[in-house]
Amino acid sequence: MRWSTEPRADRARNNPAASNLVGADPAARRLLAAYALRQRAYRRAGAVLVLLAALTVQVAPRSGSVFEVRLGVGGSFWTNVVALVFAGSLAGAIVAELHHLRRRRTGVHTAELATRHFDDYASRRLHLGLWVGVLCVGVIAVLAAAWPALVGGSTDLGSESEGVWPLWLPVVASLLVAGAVELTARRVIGRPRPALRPAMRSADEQVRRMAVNSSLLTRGVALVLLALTWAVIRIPSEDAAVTVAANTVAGLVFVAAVLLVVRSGRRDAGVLEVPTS
Amino acid sequence: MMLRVDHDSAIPVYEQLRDQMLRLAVGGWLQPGQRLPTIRQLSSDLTLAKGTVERAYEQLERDGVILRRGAAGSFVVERLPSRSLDEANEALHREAQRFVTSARQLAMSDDDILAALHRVMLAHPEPPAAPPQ
Repeated sequence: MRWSTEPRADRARNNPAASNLVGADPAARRLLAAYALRQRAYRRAGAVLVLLAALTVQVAPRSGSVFEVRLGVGGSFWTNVVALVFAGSLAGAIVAELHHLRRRRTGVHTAELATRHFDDYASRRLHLGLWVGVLCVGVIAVLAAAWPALVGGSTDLGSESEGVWPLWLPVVASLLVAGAVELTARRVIGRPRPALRPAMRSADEQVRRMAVNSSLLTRGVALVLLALTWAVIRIPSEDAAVTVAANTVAGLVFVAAVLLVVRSGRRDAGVLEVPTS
Repeated sequence: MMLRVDHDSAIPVYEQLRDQMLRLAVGGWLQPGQRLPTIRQLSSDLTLAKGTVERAYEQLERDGVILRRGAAGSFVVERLPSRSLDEANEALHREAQRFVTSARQLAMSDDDILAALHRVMLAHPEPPAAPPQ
């Protein structure tokens, strides 16, 4: 397979995938391609900035010791990186979606009388997954806290001074992520839309769907799943079987989170990259 | 169907909104029982204050054109009051009077006026299908 040497924006404009989405209208395809490119740039910038910020925090001595970031399965280096990249990418997507030019209250403005509902744009599966994920994190956190009383195992859940995050943190983190995703998605759907010709309306619908599903809900669900792995591995047990089971579940959930984002990224890439035979 | 408001017009924006929605309802473009956009959506799309859209909706409810059912939203009534058609015709007549008065002040002939009207009609062609009654 050989990749085109034409500029990326042109490739996006000529992309058959984009054409399928919004028809052959060049202006509509330009709108979709410009949106996808801008979103990707913000998500990448967010990921890089969050990684750099975490690196700065990690190397800066705090009270004489090195502050350690522990996220994801076992708090290993790569799971930390994945979690930080996902978080930064979601932050970048939110910034990109919230930023829009303020329209002035002068001149003529148009609108359509068609109603816009959250369910018309958001994937029900992803939306449900987001909040079920948050619920699961809460249940697992309660279970982890109650585990010693249930099975008489270890009560050592660690403490922040020992470099281990407190148990409530995954719950708060997942709630914050889900809340931010929900609010931003609703704002995207409520974003002003003037009366448009059919091709542009179709492109606008597609942009809103991509924003809500690919950019926000997918990354939100992935982060909540990472918080779930974080909570699962905190179930304290002296029983090796329980530890293995918890780590296996956490590993599977982690892989599911990564696959979710990778698959969504591939779908987006279909709009941007045009291979030439 | 499209709504269009002119922020620079001497006619208050809520009046523009109310008149247009009344005409759309009388003309059959808004179906009986059809759900209308929320105040938040319409104010966002038209760059208006929520209070302006709220006022237009209030007046339409008072005129018997729409029903507001709290959180469920606003809906076009099943049967429009007969005075709505008269009112829509009156509003159209007022607009026509205003247009002809302006044209006469500009010393335009009948042909010029009709040509100007024709140009605007060409820019806003008749929709391909008549609205269902």
